[in-house]
Amino acid sequence: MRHVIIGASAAGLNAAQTIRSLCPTDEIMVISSEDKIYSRCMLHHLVSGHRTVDSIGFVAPDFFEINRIHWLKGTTVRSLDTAKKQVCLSDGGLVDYDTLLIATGALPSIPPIPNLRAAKNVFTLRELSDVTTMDHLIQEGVEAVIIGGGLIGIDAAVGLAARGVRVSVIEMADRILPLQLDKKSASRYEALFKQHGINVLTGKSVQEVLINDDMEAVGVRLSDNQTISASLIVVAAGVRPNTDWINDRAIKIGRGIVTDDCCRTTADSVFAAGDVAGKTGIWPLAVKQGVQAAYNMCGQKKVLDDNFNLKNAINFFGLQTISLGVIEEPDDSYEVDIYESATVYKKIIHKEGIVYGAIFQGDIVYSGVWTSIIGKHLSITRITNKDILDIDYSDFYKTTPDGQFCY
Amino acid sequence: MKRIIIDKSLCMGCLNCTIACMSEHSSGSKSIYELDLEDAANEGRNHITLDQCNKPTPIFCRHCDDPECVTACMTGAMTKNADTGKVSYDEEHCAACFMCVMSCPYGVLKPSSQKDKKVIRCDYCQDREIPRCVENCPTEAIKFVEVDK
Repeated sequence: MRHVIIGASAAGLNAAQTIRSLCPTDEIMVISSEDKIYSRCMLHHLVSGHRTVDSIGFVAPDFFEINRIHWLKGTTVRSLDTAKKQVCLSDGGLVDYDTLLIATGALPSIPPIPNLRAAKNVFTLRELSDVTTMDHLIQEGVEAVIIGGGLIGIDAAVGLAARGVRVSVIEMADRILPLQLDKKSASRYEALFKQHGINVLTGKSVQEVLINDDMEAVGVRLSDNQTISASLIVVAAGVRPNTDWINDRAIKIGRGIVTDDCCRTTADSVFAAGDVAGKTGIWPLAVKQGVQAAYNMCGQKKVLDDNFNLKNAINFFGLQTISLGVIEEPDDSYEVDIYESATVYKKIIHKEGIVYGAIFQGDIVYSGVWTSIIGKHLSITRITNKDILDIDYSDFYKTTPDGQFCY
Repeated sequence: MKRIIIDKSLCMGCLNCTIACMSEHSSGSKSIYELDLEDAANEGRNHITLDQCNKPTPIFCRHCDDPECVTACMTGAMTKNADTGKVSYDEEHCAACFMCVMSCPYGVLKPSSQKDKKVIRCDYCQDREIPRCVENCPTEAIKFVEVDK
């Protein structure tokens, strides 16, 4: 039995490791276009100089040896033939598979802004090569513009600012991190960024990238017509599933590769997990899908019971935030409980005993319980003797025969 | 693997376990007589909270069979040892993203209140045969027991 996995990030490598533990004698091959294993979520630490390429790995350096996995690195998959059960490599080579996992992740979206695609010195923050190629431009006093104030944009901003770059973040919404934070919690970060010299411009969009005769970016013009000079631009305007290379009609593609609750695609023996399946963009679910796909690839049916992906942990300049579920009440039938002090902001949105969203900022101690309460739709109706903010696992306490906690 | 088995009904909330944990992980001597309770460097890895009926409830790391903290860790700093069952944490490699804190379904994990530290979690007192909390529980509400993996 040969299992082939395309992609070597969270979903791909966790699948590979799980297949090895389930099927000790099966052949496992991982194909990746890059030749290093690293955690994308740490790329900004490479930008900032706080880490090196060798210290952003997420598996042991001998991962492939100890798990007896054949790693075809630096190799791109060009196409796929599900009828022949074969993948075609960019060097023309063919690889047969018995089961195939597509874990090719996502690609940055480049918005249709004039000159953005053509200009030099425009980067994204998705792959290692993005960082290594922009590195020579990163110098103290250099000006940079970040298009997009979401998590990747802010990661890039903080990373560049650590190197003395004068950063401006342009965000269309009325606040940064608009998918994770409400106005109040975003404003605390905006104040912090200002203190650290990061210029945040919200409610504005980039209309045009200004370029010189050598096609190098020299700045941007915004929707309010002001111009900001920049010799380095980072585009952080979201991602899209990396499916363009799939030419086989047997694999149905919607928002990503269409999968069932066992990570099966519409093609026989082909599975998909992680960002490429379009259901999630967060690390923990990519890992879970990878593990789950592995079980099903080994013939052991496993259905994923966790699809809660509206969760994020944020930590910039020492201010920690956990964002869960909805961040604003959908309408006034919801109740909102808020606690606020000089350093802490907590908000819980609930209705009829079900909690739909929460923000914990400045104090995230033991807050994981709320990920369960919200993600599993646990009712808090019976907890009447406590302030809602004091609810913790003791109110749900239950153990299994082997002493684990459960709900 | 071994797990600290909890009998909630026997817990009287004396916090001996918490003090024991703080002593064991204190930066100075491990003696309870020299423990500085106000020094954030000595914070405990377990905690007792009161449920809505005011019953003390020990919240201790389960070193879960399927640990959400490990799944959430994007650096590989949090790992589950398949042989010992123990979840280990490499603070050096941790990037302080706190996805583990967010992901622990039972609210066991927290960020350290110290700036240079990251996540506070149970390590079964490293190489100690019996974790210090268990040794110090006067009611046997917590026991260190071999369980099936």
